[in-house]
Amino acid sequence: MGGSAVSGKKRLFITLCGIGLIFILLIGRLFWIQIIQGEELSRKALDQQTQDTSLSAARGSITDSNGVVLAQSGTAYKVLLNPYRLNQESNKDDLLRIVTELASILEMEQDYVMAQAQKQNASGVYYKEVVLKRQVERKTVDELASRKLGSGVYTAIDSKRYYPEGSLFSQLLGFTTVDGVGQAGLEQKFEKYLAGENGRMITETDRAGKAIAYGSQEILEPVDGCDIILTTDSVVQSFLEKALKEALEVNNAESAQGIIMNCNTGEILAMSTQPDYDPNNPPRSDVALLNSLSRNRIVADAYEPGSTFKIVTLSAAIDSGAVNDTTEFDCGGSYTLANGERIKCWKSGGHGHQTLPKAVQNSCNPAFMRMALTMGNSTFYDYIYAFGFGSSTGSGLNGETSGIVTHEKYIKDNTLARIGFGQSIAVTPIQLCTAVCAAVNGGELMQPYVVDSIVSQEGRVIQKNQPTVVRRVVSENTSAKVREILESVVSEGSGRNASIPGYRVGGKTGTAQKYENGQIADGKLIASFIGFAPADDPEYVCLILVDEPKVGTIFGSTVAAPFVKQVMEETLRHYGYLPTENASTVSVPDITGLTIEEARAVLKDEGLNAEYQDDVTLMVTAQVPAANEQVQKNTDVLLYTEATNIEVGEVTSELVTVPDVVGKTRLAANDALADKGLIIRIEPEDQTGTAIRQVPAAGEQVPSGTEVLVEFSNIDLMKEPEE
Amino acid sequence: MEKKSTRGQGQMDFVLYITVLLLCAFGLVMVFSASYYYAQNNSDLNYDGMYYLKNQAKYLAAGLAVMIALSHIDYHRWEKYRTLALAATIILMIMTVFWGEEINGARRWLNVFDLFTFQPSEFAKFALILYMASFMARHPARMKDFVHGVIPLLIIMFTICVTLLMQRNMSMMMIVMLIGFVMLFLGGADMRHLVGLCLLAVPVFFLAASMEEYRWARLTIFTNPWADPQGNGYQLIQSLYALGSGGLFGKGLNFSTQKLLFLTYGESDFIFAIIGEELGFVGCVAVIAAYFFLTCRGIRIAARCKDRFGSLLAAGITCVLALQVAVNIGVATSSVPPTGQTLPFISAGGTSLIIFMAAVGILLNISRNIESI
Repeated sequence: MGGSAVSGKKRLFITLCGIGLIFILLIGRLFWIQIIQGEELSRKALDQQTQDTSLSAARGSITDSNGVVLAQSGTAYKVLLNPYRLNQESNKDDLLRIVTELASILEMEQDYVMAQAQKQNASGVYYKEVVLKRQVERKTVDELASRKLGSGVYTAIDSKRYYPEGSLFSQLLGFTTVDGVGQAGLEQKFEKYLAGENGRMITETDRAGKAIAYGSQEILEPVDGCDIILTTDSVVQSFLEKALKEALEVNNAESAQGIIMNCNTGEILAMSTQPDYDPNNPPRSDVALLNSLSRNRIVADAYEPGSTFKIVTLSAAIDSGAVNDTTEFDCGGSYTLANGERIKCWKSGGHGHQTLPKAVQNSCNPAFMRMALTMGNSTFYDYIYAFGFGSSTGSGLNGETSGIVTHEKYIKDNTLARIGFGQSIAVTPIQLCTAVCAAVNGGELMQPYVVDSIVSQEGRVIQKNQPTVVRRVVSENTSAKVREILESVVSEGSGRNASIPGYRVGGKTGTAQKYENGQIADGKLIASFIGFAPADDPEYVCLILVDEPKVGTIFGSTVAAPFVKQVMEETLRHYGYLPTENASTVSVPDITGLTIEEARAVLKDEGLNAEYQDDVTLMVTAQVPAANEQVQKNTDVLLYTEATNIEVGEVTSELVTVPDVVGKTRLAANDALADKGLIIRIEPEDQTGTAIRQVPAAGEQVPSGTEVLVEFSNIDLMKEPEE
Repeated sequence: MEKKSTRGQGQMDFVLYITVLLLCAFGLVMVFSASYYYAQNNSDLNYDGMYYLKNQAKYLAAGLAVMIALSHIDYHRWEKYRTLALAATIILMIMTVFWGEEINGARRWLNVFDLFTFQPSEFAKFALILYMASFMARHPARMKDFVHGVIPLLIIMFTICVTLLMQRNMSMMMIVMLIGFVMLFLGGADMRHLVGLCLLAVPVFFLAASMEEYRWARLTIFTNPWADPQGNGYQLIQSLYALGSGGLFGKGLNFSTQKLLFLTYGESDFIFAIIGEELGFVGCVAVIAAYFFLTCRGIRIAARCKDRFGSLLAAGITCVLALQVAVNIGVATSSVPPTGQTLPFISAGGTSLIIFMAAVGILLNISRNIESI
């Protein structure tokens, strides 16, 4: 082979080395890929090899204290369209038929369905999927299937929130979005408990997205939402809602609100605002309406409580020692403050000489003004705050507001006096109810609450609420005294028509002017009654408000009480309280169709009082309580006529007849006008003598509060009138 | 160095023989592992998970028969068929250009009476080696003469390259050129001539590659497959994912997830990626080591062969083998421009397997004619 062979071997060796070098470089490259970059690459690989599916957690249910399910999640369906297919597979007539069928079955606008069925993107390509309607029922799906609508219409599983009791507790419960996220009420407030945590399923798939038979599947189980058990009682709620609906209807009111609490525990048994809505099908398209209907006014809306607030004043006055059993009051129809300002009593003639219980029975404003002023700013305010006004009760309900309590340092005597009888202060119904609970339960302010417990699906108690004493507000003795006096208000005083035969009930009426934009809204009232029973050992406190009953002021103070009576009676019976035997009950006769005059006579024969505001010749169209209801003797029966529910505006205020003041001195003229609720105006101020002219003239009908301009014979020498 | 056509004149290289058999067996296992999921999900294959395994076993049996037969046929006999082999290959390749089956936009496959398909270009490499080995063995002195030694061989290489270009088979053209170059080097061509050729080839290559933009993009995609993740880069990315997921020791035989339709051609061109995923870096190094061992045995045979023709033929066969391994792994690791070269003995595919086994058969026969130490 010679030299050539040697050089050949050399070149063979060089070639081998070259190949070896290439292989080593490749090994280096492999090291880089597999060891250095391995983790990153395998993570990226895993991303494409696995499918991450969300496993939705079941939303917890909401039940009342007896286990009645108020809200629960269930399976529903959604209807989807494939516009691409619809327009490819069907001709125009076919498409029209499909759209027509869909529109009729799903109760939708045909134009809208057609638009959805022909939905295109910006570049004119038909969509492949459009959600036409969500949360439809199984039977609708079956119906659709029976119509042979082709492959362009299909359905998929959707979840729906069901409210088996319909509109019961609607504002309290709230509702969810179509995606099942709490949007209002407890559904929203307790979203994090109800929603649970969605799980994940990580599945190994092939490139086509198909799960691999032997592939691993990592499942992060969803944690189903917790169940919420409320303190409420659906039965009591139904009593309340029924009464509120009647109150709303008979009074032609804007709304009626009610709350029932257990005064010893602070548990809310029922709360409702009428009109309400069905959370199964909230009017989502009308946001303003939905917001208004779903607003839990019991906690969200503050109002001027009027006379019901006198319970607070009374409790504070007794507890602070400002009044005692021997205190007596004189009411001349108004109360004169230290600065000479006079504030009228609701009864223009005055109540005369009264004992403390009598003053409360009469709901005499001057008596309460005196109580407030005797206590003074500081003391009274301590009680107001102690009763929980001016701050949220902490009920934990959505949208709770704290009412308006003007700061003490801005308060002058006149305002303090007004607060004494429930004006110049704004409270929420729940605040008032909680405060009255404290006044009658022995003096302890209880934390109001609606959620009894939150329980996980495994039965673990996540949260358990116990009755909580916020603070002691008044002494046991004060509370006992308040109970006693308030019971007398129902048995003998202004709260007569709340009395329940065979039961001991205490309570207080209230009428308040409504404020709109900071001004008293003419003729707009909030009539309310707060009652408790049994009066000797109270369990239940019930507050009912009738917002804008289309009735006058005096009559207004009486409209809410019969409904409290009705609810309270049903509630007491429901909880097993038996009426005492010796009740002197009367069955209310049917007096509709009679004139008021006739009705009054019929009622009188039965030992009942007629309460009315209209002309006695008018015919009774409605009565509260209803015929055949068992009531205590001496109960007021409210008589409604066609004229009662007059439109707003016409009742701007009660119309009063302007008295004739010509010939009277300034003092006498002032009293005569004030007696009718009119205000005297003298211009210029320094006139004396007897009145010689007045505008408006005597005999004219004017709203109370109208100013009457009076001119006097401003001659010094004028002799004083004899009378 | 005498021409002796006696059979079994010496002992063949059993170590080489066993190594090849082991690689083939390993290949059978890997082909099955890499292909069954694809096969059982493919309606064209009648959802037969064993499809590739069965085929590969058939090819392997055929290949084995060819290998053993060739190991008994004196390699000198092939020398006289060198011109015929070369001419036949070129004619077949030209036929392919016109009547070949078009797969993935290139006509490289010839269908023989619907019996089987094969790639004539696979033969071209070996026809070239045979011819060059013979030429250079007969005219050792002319190899120093550029005009009379190198030019004739360049013309043959050029002819093959033109037909490959007509097939749009650029990668095979590059491989043929590389092999030709290595053969010239081994055949004793003057180093100055070789360096000159290199200097000439580089600008020509770049000019040709950059003439069409798509070609340049395809050529350079290996530098960053993520530039075109759904197109040219897709397979490279999937291959890298497979290798990267394997890590040091791999996921274990059969536990590749990339073979679940993510990595296409996992049983053939990209089988090395599946090996890397299932057996890890360690498995990859072992496979490379096995090939290097084969290369060493092949070079050893070439170095000890008693005649120049056998030496050059053995070295040529070994180099083709090594080069193909390097290119295949280079593609799988995204180190060289992507091309469809199989991994010898392991990748699924009849033509490649039978041809390489035949080549090894010849190599084994040459090993019977070596100097004993």
